[in-house]
Amino acid sequence: MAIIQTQEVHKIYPNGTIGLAGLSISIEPGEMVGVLGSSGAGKTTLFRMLNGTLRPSRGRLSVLGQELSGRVTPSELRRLRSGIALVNQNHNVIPPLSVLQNVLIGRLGQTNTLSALAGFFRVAKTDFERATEAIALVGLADKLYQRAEDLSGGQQQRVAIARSLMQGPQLLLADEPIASVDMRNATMLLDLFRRLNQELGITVVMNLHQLDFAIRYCPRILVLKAGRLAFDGRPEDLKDFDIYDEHNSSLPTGEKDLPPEAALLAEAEMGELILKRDFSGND
Amino acid sequence: MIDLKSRQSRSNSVRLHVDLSKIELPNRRSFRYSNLVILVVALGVIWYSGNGSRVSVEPFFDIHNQKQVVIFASNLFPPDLSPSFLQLVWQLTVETFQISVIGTVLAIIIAFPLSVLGMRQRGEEKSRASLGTARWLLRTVAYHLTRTLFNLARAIPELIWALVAIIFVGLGPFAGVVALTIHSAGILGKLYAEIFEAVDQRLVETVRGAGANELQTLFFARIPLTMPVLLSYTMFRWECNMRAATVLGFVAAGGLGTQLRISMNTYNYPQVTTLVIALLVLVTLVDIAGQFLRRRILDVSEVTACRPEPAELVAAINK
Repeated sequence: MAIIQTQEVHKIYPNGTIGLAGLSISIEPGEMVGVLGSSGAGKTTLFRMLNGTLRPSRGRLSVLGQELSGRVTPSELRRLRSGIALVNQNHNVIPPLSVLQNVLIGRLGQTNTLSALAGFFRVAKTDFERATEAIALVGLADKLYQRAEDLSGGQQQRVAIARSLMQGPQLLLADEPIASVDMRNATMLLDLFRRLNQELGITVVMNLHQLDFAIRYCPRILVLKAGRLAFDGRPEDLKDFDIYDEHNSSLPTGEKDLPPEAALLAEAEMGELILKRDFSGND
Repeated sequence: MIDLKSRQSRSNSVRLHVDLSKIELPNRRSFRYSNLVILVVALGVIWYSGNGSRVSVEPFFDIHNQKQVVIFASNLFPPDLSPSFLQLVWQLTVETFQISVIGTVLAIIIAFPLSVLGMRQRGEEKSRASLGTARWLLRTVAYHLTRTLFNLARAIPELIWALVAIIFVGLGPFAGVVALTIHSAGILGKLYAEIFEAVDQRLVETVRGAGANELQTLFFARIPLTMPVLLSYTMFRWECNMRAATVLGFVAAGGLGTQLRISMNTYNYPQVTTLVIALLVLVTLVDIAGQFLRRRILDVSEVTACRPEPAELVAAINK
């Protein structure tokens, strides 16, 4: 049975912005899938929907066997989310908490509130060992008791990965994991994802901007365009496919997450604007 | 290279030319007349309030009034520092301190769990469609009920609560404690709820995303993220309670106030001065304690994840 199944999923935000416009995909357990598409194509909307943070406006959606289209009780949602690990570009950690505490958050889904609170004073031995292992695996053992806010963005992301390992997930959702990471760390990160996928059988779905990385790491690639599926197949077949053609930015959210200059340059590359250097200083 | 030294040179060195005629710019948000109406109403209310309270500068320049003030001020000095009175003031100061501490602590104990119910929860998963009508209705009713309770506790001043408390527990400091607890619980509950609401929603989603329930999210995201703000509001409330504990003495609910009233009624102004000094010392001590605690939390990091406090918060504590 598919681990992720969407049927004609639409997402229209309250302000009228269209996030998804009829997306149908199906992902099997154990797959490693890269999702490509320009900003505003609906990638982040899809990811936030997959863990139940956003709800589809229309269509059907089920993740890990949990139907997410209609009514979902908090306990169902909690069970679902315990099985899904999230690694994002930002917002990965709770800044004032220590690295250890942040990683222990990964256990909350399986812990009752009282014993979770006791963890602030005395961490249970098994939890501590497991958390320390996970932290050591991502190379942050020396930062165990440091506040997460004192870590760099890349290190914070690794804390999120350690938290994922703590969760023991079936599915790992990574929303632009390497967007703000340098080349070397990006490779390390994706190598780790690949190991999680191949050795632990965790299904990995990641949202990437870098075509070369996607081709190298993902046996299956999905391309979203204007909230719809534009390509679904092996990276070899992607060669003839133009991912970033001009129709991509047709959604109202188009350049929202790009800084204004970058958006302008992106437009300019499409030949819609003429840019020139002006040294005169006159208007 | 772009020269950042001056605006002039910056605009001269590099400049990207964009043909604006080819870009469709969004419409400017149209002027909202409703804002103008609000402004006019606000100005009207201010004028009306000043008028109604007979605000004027004249009395300050009245020579007769000035003389009276001088007489009053000279009566205040020197403060009464006789050992027997100082001993009494010490006892009463300690009592005021005790009333304010226990009143504040009990208020925190009541306000904290209630604030969780009185917090508006964001996110589509909390919508009616997702939760189901019954669950959603229960949550909404609990929310409004809690807010109403907060409002009631806040709207009725400590003094009135003290009068009610005296009926139940009799004259004395305990009545003061009850009054402070109820009123402060209303204020702290509202503040806590709004502080918890203002936390970065993405961070809340991060913790929820690991399978945490709402209570766990509170302890692992909302509280750690807002600790400095929570602390400073709570300390401020303690300070307010110190003053309130004094005033409560006026209705014989213990503390410095009872003596303050006796001294004032007998025109024993030197005693009044001593009592006011004692109060000043108390408030300063709270301030120092608060600074100490805040520094311990903030020194480790300068980051406050809470947004700047919403105007309602400031309004609520200033009232």
